[in-house]
Amino acid sequence: MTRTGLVFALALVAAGIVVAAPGLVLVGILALFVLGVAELWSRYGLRNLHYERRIDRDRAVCGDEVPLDVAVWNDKPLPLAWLSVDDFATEGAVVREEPLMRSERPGFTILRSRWTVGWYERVVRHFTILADHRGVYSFGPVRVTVADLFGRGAATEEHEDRGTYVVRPRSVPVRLASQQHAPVGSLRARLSLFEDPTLFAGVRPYQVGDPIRRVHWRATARTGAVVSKRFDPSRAREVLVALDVQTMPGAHWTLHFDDELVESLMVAAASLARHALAEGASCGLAAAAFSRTLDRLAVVAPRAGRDQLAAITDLLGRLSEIPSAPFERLLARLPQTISPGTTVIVLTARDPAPYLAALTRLDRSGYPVQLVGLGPNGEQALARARAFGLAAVIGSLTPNWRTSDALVLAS
Amino acid sequence: MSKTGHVETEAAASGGPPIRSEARIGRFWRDLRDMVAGAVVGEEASLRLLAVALLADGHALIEDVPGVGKTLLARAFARALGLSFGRVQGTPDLLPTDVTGSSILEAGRLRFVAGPVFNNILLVDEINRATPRTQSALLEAMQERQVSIEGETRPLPAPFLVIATENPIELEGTFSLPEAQLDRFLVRVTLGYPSREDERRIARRYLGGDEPLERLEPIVDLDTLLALRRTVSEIVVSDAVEGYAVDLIRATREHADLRLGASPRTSVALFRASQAWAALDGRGFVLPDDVVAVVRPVLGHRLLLDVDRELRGATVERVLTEVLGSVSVPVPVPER
Repeated sequence: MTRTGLVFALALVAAGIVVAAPGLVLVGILALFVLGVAELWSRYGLRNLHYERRIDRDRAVCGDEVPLDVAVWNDKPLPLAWLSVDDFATEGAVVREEPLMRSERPGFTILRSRWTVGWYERVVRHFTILADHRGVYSFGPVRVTVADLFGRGAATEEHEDRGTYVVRPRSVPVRLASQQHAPVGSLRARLSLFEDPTLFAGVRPYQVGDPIRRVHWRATARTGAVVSKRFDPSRAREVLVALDVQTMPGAHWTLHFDDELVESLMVAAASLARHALAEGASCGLAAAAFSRTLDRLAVVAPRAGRDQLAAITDLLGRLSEIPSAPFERLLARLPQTISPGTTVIVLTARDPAPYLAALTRLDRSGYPVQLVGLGPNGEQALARARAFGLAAVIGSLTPNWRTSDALVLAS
Repeated sequence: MSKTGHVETEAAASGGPPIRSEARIGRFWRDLRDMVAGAVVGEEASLRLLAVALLADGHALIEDVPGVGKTLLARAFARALGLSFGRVQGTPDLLPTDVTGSSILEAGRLRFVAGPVFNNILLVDEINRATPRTQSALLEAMQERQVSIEGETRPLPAPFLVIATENPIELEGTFSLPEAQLDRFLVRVTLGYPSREDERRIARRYLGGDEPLERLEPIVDLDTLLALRRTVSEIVVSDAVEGYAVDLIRATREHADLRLGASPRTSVALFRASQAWAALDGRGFVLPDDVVAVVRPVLGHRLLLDVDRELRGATVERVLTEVLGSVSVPVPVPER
């Protein structure tokens, strides 16, 4: 209730009484009533008013529909004739029943809902989120506005109530156009000359040149002669999918990208990882892209486990469409992350010429490289890689990454 | 033993009124809880699950991040029970003989040196860092309660409880336990971070350089403990509660989010854990509430999510919530 409004209304009543004008008194009383009503909703409208949002799950796969329930609970005897809730959502989020509105805040859209809620009433509305694009999305903060009986905005407040969900890329079965190819890790299986330090096989007499760390001290003490540990050759297959997210030629920092190709790469990476893990290999992922962390290189180290595919697809869901660093820098860092003998599957949709030298170095230093070319530049990538003596195949998702039912690999 | 409740009694040594066996277990739990609280702050739920594993003749898997007191809890548990305690740190070069023991040549004769497995309570820290070969040797000992070394079979002491820990964060260079081996653990325990008040109490306790473990005294002797374990297996499970537990197990096999539901062995584990849980409350019969209380620790690590559902955010916790919501709880009908 504004002081001016109150003074004006009281003045009307007083003037009406003084000049004996009942109409003026009535107008004054009406003005006082309107001001009182506005004050009531302004002061108490937001009290004991709860807004709840429930996103059915925090993970989805591209193409899924995720139920979203929003509820308003007016826990007081004052009914709310007009209540507006603006739920800020990350740009790109899609709600089937309610087109999201543009927001004054950059990077956000608004899910706006209007309600009429009685006293002690709880109203729930059901929406459906269409997870039609990979990424990390969030709802919140929430701006709640109540109006009085005359529809005038009475009070507004904002809550930092966030809900987040990650949309992971699809993963489809990997099919081989020719059974001669085994793209995930077959080279690794043939190269079993590397010792696996986790496979202790016994001891042998110490030989000149054995590192001191190799000496088995307990056995040495027991037998009275210096003995060294002996390890089995590595038998486990380890695979790392190195994802080249850059889809346009030129420097990595150009902000242009081909969205269809990027999403195809993501689906192909998820599919290869799933295939490798299903075959019992340890699988990891590395990409030179932003992943909502401070690290410029995104890496999930190779591992075989129940939750590894979830970790890999989670990272794929978070990856940016633009590179964070040159791909060759990622390749140069890989030997620090993966063990010798790990097969590196390079997934690219561009001409690999800028990093072919790095690939060759990797291949020669005991990390067998297999290049998978995708999209219109796939043939060119295949030819380039083979010219450098690298194994390469072409991958295709037909008709497109959204509807394809298999990743087909062909030479 | 009667169908309406356990009424077996024992005369108190002092000649006082008879004490029901399950009431003695209830008292045992209160004593254990109070004693361990002298060293471990605010982990009553986890301690209770360890007690369930011990009384139900099972093993426990503790899964949590480093620094929340997994080792302290296990050591305090062993000390309060007056049991022998051994510890093994899971590393990639840990050998089966490092766990079971081996014979050494001494003065021309072989002498067997027992490994840490020959303790009542064995803490295997970061079990998933040990190689599958060592894990298998350990898990075989857990199942058979004996080890065969150099052609000779040696029984393990009773009670024998393995408390294994796993760190769910640092997974690089680990060997995850296969489902068949996870099944060997009766319960999976998660400690979680302490509350703010508990954390202040922990800090206060250690500020003075105090070593609270030193103050713990055994609350029970070995013979009594073994007798209590025998009592647990006699706790009554009524037909209605039995049906409820079986329905829960069967519901997991039909749940769309699961690739692998609970096995019949899990049913047995659920019954045993429910009996122990009821006994710790001093009851001679199992209530549906006891079954509900142990469903998550017993089933949580045994269920395998469908890959596609997992990618869509399905979790075992959520599946179990749905399963518990879908099976009707038996309600006793009052006699007219």
